[in-house]
Amino acid sequence: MSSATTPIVRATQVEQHFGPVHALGPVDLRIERGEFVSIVGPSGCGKSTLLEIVGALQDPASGTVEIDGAPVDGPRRRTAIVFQESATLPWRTVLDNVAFALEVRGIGRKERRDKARELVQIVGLAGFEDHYPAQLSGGMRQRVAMARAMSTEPDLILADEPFGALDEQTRMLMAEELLRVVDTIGCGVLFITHSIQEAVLLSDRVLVMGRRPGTFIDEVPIDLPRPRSHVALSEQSATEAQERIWAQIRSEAEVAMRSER
Amino acid sequence: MTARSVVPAYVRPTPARVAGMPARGWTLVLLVVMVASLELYARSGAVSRLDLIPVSEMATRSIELLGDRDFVVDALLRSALLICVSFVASALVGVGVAYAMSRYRWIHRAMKPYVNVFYALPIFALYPVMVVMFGTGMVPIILLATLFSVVIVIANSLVGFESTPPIVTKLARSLEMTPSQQLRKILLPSALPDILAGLKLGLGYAIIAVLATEFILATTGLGQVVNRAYNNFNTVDMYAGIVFVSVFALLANLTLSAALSSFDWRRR
Repeated sequence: MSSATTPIVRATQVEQHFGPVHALGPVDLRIERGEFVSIVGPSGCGKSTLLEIVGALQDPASGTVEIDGAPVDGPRRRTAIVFQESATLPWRTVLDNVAFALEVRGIGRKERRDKARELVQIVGLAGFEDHYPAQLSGGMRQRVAMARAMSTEPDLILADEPFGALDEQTRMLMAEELLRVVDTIGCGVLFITHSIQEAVLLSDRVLVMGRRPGTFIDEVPIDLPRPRSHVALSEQSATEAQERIWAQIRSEAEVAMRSER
Repeated sequence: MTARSVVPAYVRPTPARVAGMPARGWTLVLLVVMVASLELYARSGAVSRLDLIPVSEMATRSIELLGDRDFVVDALLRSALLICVSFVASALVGVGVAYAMSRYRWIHRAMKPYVNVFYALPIFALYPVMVVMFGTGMVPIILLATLFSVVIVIANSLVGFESTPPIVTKLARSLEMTPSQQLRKILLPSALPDILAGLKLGLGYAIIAVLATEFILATTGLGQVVNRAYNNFNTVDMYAGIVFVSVFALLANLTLSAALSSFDWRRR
């Protein structure tokens, strides 16, 4: 049963195949409650596959996933997923996009709109409630998706390169924003990214995934005080962590590139 | 001689005025010139009144028709009813079939070839079959018109349903939406602009089909008014009917287009 010591995510010997392609694993993954864990790795290594298995968007070929002590058998109410492309609905206003998850769960109009208005404030979109996604920038659309993810009061957020399509400056700002939000609601996060900097800035722990079939080749704890901002990246432990992760990924990526040629 | 612009034509903005007049003005001029020359030609005596009458007479007579109770009830209202029924039927069936095709692979496989080749079929050639099976009442007209307009609705709606971004589908799955929620809150709104485009064309097709079918197999209706006048050498009524039908179809299309466009989130 779930208790304060049950990890929010425990995946054991998870593997995935797509036809003849051995895409992932076997991997073990453990995330504590309120812990922020990032996975970095070369493209095509199976990071997103693992995330989708944890989020029950795919079934693993073998292995088990437990969330909050219960085996995963379908999408879970308190797991929120933030996708890479902004999954906003272009026919809905910002407010109605943020309220969407609550609407699907049958929350009354007044209640969900009040909640959404609050969240729009938190992600810094006040004044844009009645705008449509097409009128927003990429960063603002991703804020909408973040607010929607938060609306269901998740205890676990799965983020699949949520800032991947944004420019460097916006990325950094959004990362700080996410830190603030996660600190506020205190949920566990599984965060997939290409950016080592981003991983180090955000995480309690960074897992480095090797080339396909993805397995974890290193685990780097990040001991930076919280709350953090981009300033933390220039501390010595942060730069050391970045060096260590980059060295691993570099050799993996080089082998992967050579074998694909 | 005016100096030639060094800016290539394809990057120059479209001029708002052409030869001192807005483009819309020229559209009007074109219409006036055509109507006026028809009027003059008909009045010049160069053509028999059996072949052509002045446009002014066509217009006057078609307005008179509106005061004729028999015309309004038996022809105009009846045809309008047939068009409405065929249009609504093809809208419902078309969107329904397209949804089924996008949801179930086997329906898609089974139906797609028919949707693709349907345009090539001369649907009106079926009319003798319709008369044999259903007589000359309203049913065969509704069937033919629905059959004729449903395909364009299916084709457009299918494009709409299939262009739902995969990321939005993933979102729907992660939120555990039921199939009915997915249809109402994701698929229909996402496909709406394409469905509306299909419906606009569908109305045009339904009007064409109803009028044409009335022409060949009905005993009354707008199409039949024109046909009867034509067979009886009643040139005035024939042209009046043609003008009336054209204006009627144009207004119906414009009204529906405007109404449907207000739902289109891509135009906001």
